[in-house]
Amino acid sequence: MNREHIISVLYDLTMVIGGEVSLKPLLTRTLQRLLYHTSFPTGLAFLDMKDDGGATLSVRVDAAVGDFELAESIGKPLTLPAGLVRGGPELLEDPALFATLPCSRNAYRVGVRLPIDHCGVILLLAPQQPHTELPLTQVFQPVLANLAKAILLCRRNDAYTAGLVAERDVVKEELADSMARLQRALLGTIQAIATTVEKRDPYTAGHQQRTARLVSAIARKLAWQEERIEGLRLGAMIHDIGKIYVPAEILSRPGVLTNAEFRIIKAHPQVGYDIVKDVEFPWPVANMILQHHERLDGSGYPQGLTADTICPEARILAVADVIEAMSSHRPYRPAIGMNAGLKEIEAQKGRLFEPDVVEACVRVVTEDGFSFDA
Amino acid sequence: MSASAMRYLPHIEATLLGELLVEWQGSHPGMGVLVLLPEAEKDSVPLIQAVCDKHRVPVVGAVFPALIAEAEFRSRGAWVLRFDTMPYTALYADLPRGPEAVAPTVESIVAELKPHLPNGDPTTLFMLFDAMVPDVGSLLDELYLRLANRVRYMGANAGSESFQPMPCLFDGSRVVERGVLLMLLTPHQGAILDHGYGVPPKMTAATSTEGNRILQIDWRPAFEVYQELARAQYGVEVNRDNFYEYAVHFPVGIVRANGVILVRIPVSLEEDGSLFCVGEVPPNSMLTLLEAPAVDSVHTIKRLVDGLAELNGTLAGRDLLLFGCAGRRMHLGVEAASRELQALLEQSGAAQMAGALSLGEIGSTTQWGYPLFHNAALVACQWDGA
Repeated sequence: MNREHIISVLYDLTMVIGGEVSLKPLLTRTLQRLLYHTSFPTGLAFLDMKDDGGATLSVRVDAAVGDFELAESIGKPLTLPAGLVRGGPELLEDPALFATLPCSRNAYRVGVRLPIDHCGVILLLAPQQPHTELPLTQVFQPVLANLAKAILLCRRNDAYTAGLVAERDVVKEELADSMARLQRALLGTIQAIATTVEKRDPYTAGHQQRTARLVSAIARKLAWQEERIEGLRLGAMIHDIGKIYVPAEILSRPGVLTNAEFRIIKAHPQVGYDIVKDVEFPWPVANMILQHHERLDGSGYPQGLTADTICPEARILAVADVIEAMSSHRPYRPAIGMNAGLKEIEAQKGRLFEPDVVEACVRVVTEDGFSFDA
Repeated sequence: MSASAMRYLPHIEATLLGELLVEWQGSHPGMGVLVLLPEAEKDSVPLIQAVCDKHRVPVVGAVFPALIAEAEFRSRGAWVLRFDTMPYTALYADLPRGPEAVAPTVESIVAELKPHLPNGDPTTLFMLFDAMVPDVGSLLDELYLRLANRVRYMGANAGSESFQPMPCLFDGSRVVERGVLLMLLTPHQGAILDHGYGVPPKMTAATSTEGNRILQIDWRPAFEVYQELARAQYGVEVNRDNFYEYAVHFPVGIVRANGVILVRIPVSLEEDGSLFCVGEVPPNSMLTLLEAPAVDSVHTIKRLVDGLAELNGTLAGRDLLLFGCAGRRMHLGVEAASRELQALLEQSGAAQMAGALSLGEIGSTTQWGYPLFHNAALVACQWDGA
């Protein structure tokens, strides 16, 4: 080994030290590189040693590479003999010193102590002296002076980053609170709209809430994510908002509707859509309202959409809407019942209604005992 | 343990392999096998898998440029190495690439491996990588961080000597590429690695590197420098076609403080004139250019024999497993490389020596040293069916 070789080793270590901005990777990478260069299998770094000049020192293991037992001591306080960790760079050949380390007895017989300029110390450990052509106790000292400065900078950076993280967490918490308040306000508004609609139509009072309960149960059966289910539930709670446009006497009049009256009724999805389309919901609420009377075969209204062009939320809402309607009393007919409703949607499975949704709805009722009365 | 846990099959035939498995199963019902194949026999993998499946013998294996048998290089046949009891093995295909993928990849590999680590018995993590995996060195760093001294480390790179992608690692049902085959040998004392390349006095700085590529040497395009050296030293014109043939004589060395250099043999030229090595060249590393390095075969063999004896006691009459770098053979020449093999066999007193030409070697020059990825090295261990 000549001067050029030594310089190349120091250059390599310097580049590694200069490449890290956080303390933990700095110490780990430096130890890795020292082991790489020296063939010592194990390296330890201790910082912030408390030295009162006694026979032992209180230390904390800040990094350990190459020994799984010593690695388990990272962050833990240790009391070690002063001869092991105090003093200048030195080749240590006293197995009794190494026996004080929390690892297998007799694991190490040779060590090199490399102090880090008033910052701490690095120990390289081996069962026997690895071959070396360099005076290890001297050659690394210039680099370790750099390491001391890098430790200082990394600590400042870690503290700064920790401050930013804490600040970010506070902002995140405030944002979450704000979101929760908005959510509550939105729910209140939606509930108020739903109540307004149903006040005008006593025969369908509670229809939207009951439908909302069923769509939620179906979506859970289909393993939808809770956040998406919440959007579906809110859409269901106001899916008939367009009926606000329908005169109350048409809504509540017993008997068969005239064609003109039915045309007015059929306009309610489009009216509902127009009312909410400019509200920025995080879910496709407007489309749910617009499409809840669409059917897979294109026979629905108002657009005559087919299959995949109908949004998944509307496909669930369509099924739940029919089941709820058939289960409830209407001015023009008595309640038909849940079982008849299930038979109807099964009969139309694949033609009018999404097969997966129908199957999930049937299981919700028959297996889970769903009831609108519960 | 029977007399020998390794057998060289000069021809790969279902009957021959089946008879061997039946013979071994008689004394080792829980056995498994590691099969080493030369590149020319790569199409035999399905046959080997079928025979092993028929006899219900777990199999893993790898394809190398050539095999080593009776201290000679063989391009035909197969080595069948027995595990007396099939150990934990894991075959990973298409390892994720890029520096940010290394830590999570190793994290998941180690999570699967850890439950299989024995308590107490010395254990070796034997790794066979596809030579197309570009970051073996970084993967070893991460493995050592997580497993530390729980295991000893050895391994080699498989693949084609042409450095063309080739599925080269297999188990009982798959043949994969860009992956790694892991085997947990226990009890096993580890391996010894050496290359005998000396450190030249003159340093030449690789002034720009990136991963496995050397972009510049002495602030000049890397290939220009190569061409000049080859012209001056051998009077030959190096071009893209003959590059590997000559570059093995001009490897680069990364100097370490213990005086043992890490050799990197450039294996191809990139479009931009940079040199592509099997094995990472650390960013901004200062390199030596090993101009026609003198390889100290005598001391290499002595250190291997002494190291193996220190690990295992006497080697007389026992079997060895050896991986030797394909680039080393090219540099030494077939005749000198064969003499090296013969010297190892004779000086160790081993009964048999199974092995393969590899495209990179993993190990340490000392018993418990930091595991490194080398080129141009020999790595050897005892093989007794553990």
